[in-house]
Amino acid sequence: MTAARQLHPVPAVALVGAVLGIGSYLVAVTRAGVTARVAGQRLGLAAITVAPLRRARRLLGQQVTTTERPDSATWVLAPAAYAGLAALALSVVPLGPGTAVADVDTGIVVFGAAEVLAVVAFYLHGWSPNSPLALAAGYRHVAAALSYALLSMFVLIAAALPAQSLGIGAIVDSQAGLWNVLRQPLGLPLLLVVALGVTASGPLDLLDGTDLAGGGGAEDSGVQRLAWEGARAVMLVAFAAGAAAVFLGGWHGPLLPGWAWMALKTAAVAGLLVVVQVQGARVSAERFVAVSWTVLLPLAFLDLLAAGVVAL
Amino acid sequence: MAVRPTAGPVPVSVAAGPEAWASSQELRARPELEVATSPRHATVLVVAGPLPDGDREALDRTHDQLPHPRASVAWDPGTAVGEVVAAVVAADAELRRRPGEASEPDRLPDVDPNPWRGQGPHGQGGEGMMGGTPYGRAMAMTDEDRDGLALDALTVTLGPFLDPLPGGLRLEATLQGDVLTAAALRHPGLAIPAAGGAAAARRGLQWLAHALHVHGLGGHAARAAALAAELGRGADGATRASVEASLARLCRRLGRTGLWWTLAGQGELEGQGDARRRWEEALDGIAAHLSGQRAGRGADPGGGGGGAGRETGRVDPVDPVDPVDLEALGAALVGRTLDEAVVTITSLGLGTLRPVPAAREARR
Repeated sequence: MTAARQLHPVPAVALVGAVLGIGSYLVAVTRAGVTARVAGQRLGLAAITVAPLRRARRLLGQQVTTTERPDSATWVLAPAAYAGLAALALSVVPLGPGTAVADVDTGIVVFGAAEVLAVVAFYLHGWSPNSPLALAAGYRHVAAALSYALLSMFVLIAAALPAQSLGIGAIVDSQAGLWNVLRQPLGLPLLLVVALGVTASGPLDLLDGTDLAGGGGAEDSGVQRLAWEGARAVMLVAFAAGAAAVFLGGWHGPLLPGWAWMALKTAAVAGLLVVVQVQGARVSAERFVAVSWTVLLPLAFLDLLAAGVVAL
Repeated sequence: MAVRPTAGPVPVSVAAGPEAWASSQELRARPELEVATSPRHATVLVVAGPLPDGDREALDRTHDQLPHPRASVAWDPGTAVGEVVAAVVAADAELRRRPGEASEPDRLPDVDPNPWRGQGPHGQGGEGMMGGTPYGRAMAMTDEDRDGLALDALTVTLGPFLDPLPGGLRLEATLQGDVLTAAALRHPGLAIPAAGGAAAARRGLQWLAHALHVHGLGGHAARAAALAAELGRGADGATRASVEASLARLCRRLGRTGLWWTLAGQGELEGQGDARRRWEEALDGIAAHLSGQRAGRGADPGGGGGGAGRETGRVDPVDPVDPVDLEALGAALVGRTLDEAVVTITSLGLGTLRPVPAAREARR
């Protein structure tokens, strides 16, 4: 068992803020680039790099509209809770050897709990505007949530078995010889499905879907919308960092310093997720639940079983 | 010709009448604009006319949902897309110069749309703290439902300017959770000019642009819209061949999105198969129109559908023998989730692909 390593609160907040801030900007740039490419529009690098900033400036200058009798407090709370959970998830992920805000012995449990609790933010996002399409979208995302949250549970515990620890730092240590992505080949693909659910995007964009006119976000405008979109990007970054640490060997790698490897691997996972988000058609909640319980969950259980047998 | 965006794409919300709805989909191809899914996300409201008289109030309501600073631009039939885009960009530039003064005020007074006419123990009618129509709008009330959960039933009208639905279509739905327990569709009617060949293919591509957007494939939707616009600029043999080749490439790209898998088994209608089959027929039909294998028919509105459709008695999206029976469609949507209802309506291509009968009143 590794001892819990902790950063002083001041650099810790700065570190989490910087990683999530820079990361979510890069995610937004990547999305702008991938979308333009899929759309067949030739945008220069300059246009793509400023696109998220222009969008943010437009939303900041926009009125925050309201609806008839909304639940105003929870409406504001939803993106705050969502981004807060992303920060919580990131805080237990070591970003370099010995560099975690709190590499606690139960890191993987904290990380998983942050994913699961995001469902509360999703429901509030759909509930608060007091609007039928937002509510229906909230319902269906929550209905699908159990089916991806369970996947995450199996997959993360399987990854913890070779390390014989629930601490993410120990899980990274255990991959010095062989990364978990090779040791447990089912793990990372399944965790990426979870990522689509936790970021409510791509095939699992049931929460803000265009088929329900923007769903939970249908009534959002101005800074309220910016906050939700930002929180989504922030969650994607935190999740990608977690996946890089748990499956891609974290800071392990030749030549470059550990934090650079961690940044590269996180960027690779985040980039892959953005491509799937832009390129994937939305699947219905009903279809996803069926596939999850008949195919994905058995695979996740197989993953855990195999990891358990190997650990014996 | 192209307007250079200086503040990024301008988010527009499109309120289109039944006739203009299909061509308004070509706005999705324009890098200067971002067609928003909700008026709350838009800076400029594009009103693509003509609108039926009964839709004026809905238009004003939609207008008032745009956040300040906001503007609106009218798009009359016959005006080129480029001019509309230029007008939108100019309106946006003006809003950025003078956000306070240039922003349009509300068109409707900020009051409850109907007077209070409640009764009962809490003043709203209904039972306990639920039900009734306190301001002329139904409040949720528990009811029997599909899953035996006795969820609140809420009746809402979606449309005529809801982005996922064809322009002019109203869906009056009673929802329990996200399941429809009653549904009625209304459409003011649509006269589509006789067309075949390239014009029909263009309408089909406009349908495709909207349908891909509904399924969350905005980038692919922009490509389909660009193909429709290309046909609009010229319909000679070379253009048609190039569009046909691009459409084939787009279809291969769509194969990698999982779209066919998500459509399979969705939106089953009696005698018409599922949404996937209707999409495939529609795409085959667009290709057939482009390659000139299909002649135009009298009321042929365009795009999509395998020729075999008529022989087997199912509805053929390209050459409709019978107009869509909205009453039967409404009945068929009952018991489905709201998103499947949208997928079903989208796959039928209402408004783009075939005429809809004049004002068939909802079954109540």
